[in-house]
Amino acid sequence: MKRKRSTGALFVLPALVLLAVFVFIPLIGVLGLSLTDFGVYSLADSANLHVIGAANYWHLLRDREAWQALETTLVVVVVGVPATLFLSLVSALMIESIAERWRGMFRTALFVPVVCSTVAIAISWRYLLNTRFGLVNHLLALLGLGAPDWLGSPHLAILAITIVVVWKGFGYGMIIVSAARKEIPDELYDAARIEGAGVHQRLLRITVPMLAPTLGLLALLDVSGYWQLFAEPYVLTQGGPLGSTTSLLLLMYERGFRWWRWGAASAIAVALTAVMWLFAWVQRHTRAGWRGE
Amino acid sequence: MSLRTRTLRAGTYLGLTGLAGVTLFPLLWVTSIALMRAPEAAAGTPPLWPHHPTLVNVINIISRQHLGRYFFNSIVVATATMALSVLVAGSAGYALARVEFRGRRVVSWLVMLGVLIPNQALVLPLFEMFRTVHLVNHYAALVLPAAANPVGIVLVQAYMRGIPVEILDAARIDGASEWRIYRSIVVPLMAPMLAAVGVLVFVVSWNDFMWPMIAMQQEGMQTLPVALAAIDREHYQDIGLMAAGATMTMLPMVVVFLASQRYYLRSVIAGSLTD
Repeated sequence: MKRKRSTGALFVLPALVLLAVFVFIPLIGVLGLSLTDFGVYSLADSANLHVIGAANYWHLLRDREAWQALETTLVVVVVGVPATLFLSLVSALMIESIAERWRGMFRTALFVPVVCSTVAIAISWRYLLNTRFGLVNHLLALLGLGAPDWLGSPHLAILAITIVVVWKGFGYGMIIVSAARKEIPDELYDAARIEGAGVHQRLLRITVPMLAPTLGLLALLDVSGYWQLFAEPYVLTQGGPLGSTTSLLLLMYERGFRWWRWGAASAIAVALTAVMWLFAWVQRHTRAGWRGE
Repeated sequence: MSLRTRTLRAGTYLGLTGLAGVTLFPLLWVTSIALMRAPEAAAGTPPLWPHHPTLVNVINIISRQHLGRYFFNSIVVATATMALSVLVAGSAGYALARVEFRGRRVVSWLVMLGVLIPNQALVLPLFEMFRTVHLVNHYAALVLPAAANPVGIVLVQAYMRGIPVEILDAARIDGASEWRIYRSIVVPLMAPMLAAVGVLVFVVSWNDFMWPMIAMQQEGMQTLPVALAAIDREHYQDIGLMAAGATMTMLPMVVVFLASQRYYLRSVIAGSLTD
């Protein structure tokens, strides 16, 4: 038995070492950095490094750029996640309701953006949304709807980025909802049909409640993904106009690698992680509630 | 079939076709622009289809922007990351699910914690670590952190839990070593999930952006998306060139996905069930 024990530990050792070195130590590192004034001078000589306690966090609370980045990121989450969930749900239910032989084709078509590079997608959408020759405004003009300056106006730019994010992401949830829909026993629907329940009732009384746990998990996955928004604004708008599309991670990146203010940047990273844990905690909590019913 | 059902069905097909159009059209349009000559692509709204298809943009971005070099980097990094991740996640996931050892619960818990840590929040200390050991601008800077992949471990672990263990116990009674059992029984058993994790890791590694941009600053060491973003900052007005670059970055992953769809979607679905 002793031999078996040590082998088990050996099997997990590589994973444990990698996780320790590249996840847990950096996590402690970013916490530590956030309590210092680590900056361009301490990169050159560590004598210039000072522990300044929670000062970076106090600054963050009074930092207008940070609040704006928080607001931007929250807008993408609050608008983008429900839109994504809705599209994932509707497309999955539609796919599960059509003839089997067409399902694969539609599933593939809706999923393809998920596997595409975000940078490449952002470049493509920048041309689609271009005011001069973009096809989106060309279409709007055909419908007589005017030609908004998608990436040039602060309010529209964040909306445009949300649209791109949702467009790229909903196929992922579609696959997950689709798999969960298959797990709902047909007997439930048969029984409901015998009781005289119509299409709408079956949808609202069986499908949606049975899918609720899956949708809850999906919400968490989407929230944590959108919370880490970075490449889309980096390529599409470079955070502008007027900082209106600078997400939290983009702000962290700029402070860290453009201005070399690592202490301040680390505080943003820690805050971002803490809020994500809060999301996960809330999701777990509410789901336990559903199970308890 | 009642009229209502028929209308509903027709509406469903119509809606799905519309959605598929919305997801596919931008990708097809960009591919089409990549095949247009400059005047055609730049004159007002480009036509939907290149009237005289040409590879000049592809040739330009390869010869002038050295896209081949970045393509090679991406292949090397994604392949190495995939191989290492599968090795590490395979043995760890199996042991966490099916081998008794001291500290198993702690390790399981650490892996779950790892899933909840956004790795983009760790780039500052990571950069400092790699700078200290002079591995910035080396492939290892991208491969090693990406191989620390708790999601892969959780996927394998959950998959192994669902497989009956009698066969493993029988082999143990026969006196087979744990290593032998792993190699000749366990690996074949979990091969479908290893394939799923492998494809997923390959695609994620290929598309990764923030950390590769930070870790690979030396000319010629960048991966495709990083190089593409850099070229974009200088040449964004050259639509044909950028469309060619975007297409060449996306197309390989679309092909990989189409070829391994079964495995890829398996990892997506399993990821939602393990929680």
